[in-house]
Amino acid sequence: MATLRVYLEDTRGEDIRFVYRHLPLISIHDKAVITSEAAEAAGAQGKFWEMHDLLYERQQDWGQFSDDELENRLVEYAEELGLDAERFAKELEEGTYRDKIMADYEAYSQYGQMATPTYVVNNVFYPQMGLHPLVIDAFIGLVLEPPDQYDEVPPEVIDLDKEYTATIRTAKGDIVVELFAEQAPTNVNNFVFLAQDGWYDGQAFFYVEPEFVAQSGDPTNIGLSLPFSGYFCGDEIDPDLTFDEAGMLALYTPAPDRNSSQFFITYTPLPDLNGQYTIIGRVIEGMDVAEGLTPTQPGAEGASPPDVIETILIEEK
Amino acid sequence: MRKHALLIAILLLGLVAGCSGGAVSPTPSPSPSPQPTSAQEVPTAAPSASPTASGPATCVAVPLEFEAESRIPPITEADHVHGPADASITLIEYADFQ
Repeated sequence: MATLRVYLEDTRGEDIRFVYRHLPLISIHDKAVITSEAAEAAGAQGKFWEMHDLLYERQQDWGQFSDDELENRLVEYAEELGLDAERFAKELEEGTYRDKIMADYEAYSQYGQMATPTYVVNNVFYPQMGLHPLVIDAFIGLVLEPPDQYDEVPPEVIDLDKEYTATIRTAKGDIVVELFAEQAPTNVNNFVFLAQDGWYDGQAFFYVEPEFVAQSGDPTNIGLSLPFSGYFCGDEIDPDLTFDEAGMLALYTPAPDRNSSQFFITYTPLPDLNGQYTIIGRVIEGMDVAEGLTPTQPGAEGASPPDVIETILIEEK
Repeated sequence: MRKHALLIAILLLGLVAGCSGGAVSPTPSPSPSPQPTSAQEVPTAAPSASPTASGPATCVAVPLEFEAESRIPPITEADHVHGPADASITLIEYADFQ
């Protein structure tokens, strides 16, 4: 967790503390117990985290060793950290901390699933959403402050006898989209409802890749596939609407029938996406504005600040 | 709008479990880095030539909820802790070094 710890200490400062508990996956990790013992033996001399970080950092070095070689190398690490190497070696030899480590393991098996690493934030298990620090940081944010959500599905806000356009307003200009209410009534209704309620105001185009798409509609601005709106809507795939031309507005769904608030605008024909995402509109004005959005992706180093949606205006005709 | 209590819906776990690099779809990304996004990671294996119409859809309420696990032992002096005791966030890592 060294990398994650550095990242989170940077973003969260004194607001976070880290706790390490042993979960040696003995059936698949043959060196898990001995290295955990090394961390404990270092901890007994006040340098648990130093050994912890060193073991992660040098994983490539020690992973291939035989048991004897590994034990020698661990003693060298102890010397490197300025520990009493003799005491350290003796404690490894005698298995002084083995029971403590296995007790951690046994305790955990009562309530947790056997996977490493597993993170728990204020006693809430982090779902397996990947180990990117940005995502874990976003999860921490959600645990601390639950997002505002609707507790019902959207009411009917559109009239199918009328035509709708959406104007996505940014500091760089407006992107005007005709909405396909006839072909995707439920999802257009969803989008119009969210837009009119100001849901998108202030959200970023957090993922913008030229020749591909610009994506927004996630309040965490990193593309977590969670139903932040509080509901999912089913797909509405119309064979006559395709990604064969650029400028399509579609809802992003991480799996079939999981449309929520996220959407993307395509920069180029993307026929591979046909049939997978519900197209709800097409850019009729301001494609140059869309193309001028700052390329970015979540967590990219040195990325420029993303463009922000000031608001989305809905017009009915 | 109203705030829900924290509680992880099983559905969510099922949803995200199949995702590789983060909260995302289970396909290779054109970019080598583990992106926590999005439309770039859409399935590209089998572009369907003639998608079938799915018709009007319905929506279903899915509150985003997180549930605390009450059986996790409290932090004690026996634990290895890094950071202030009065921090508002406690992140426990269960891991080994291999």
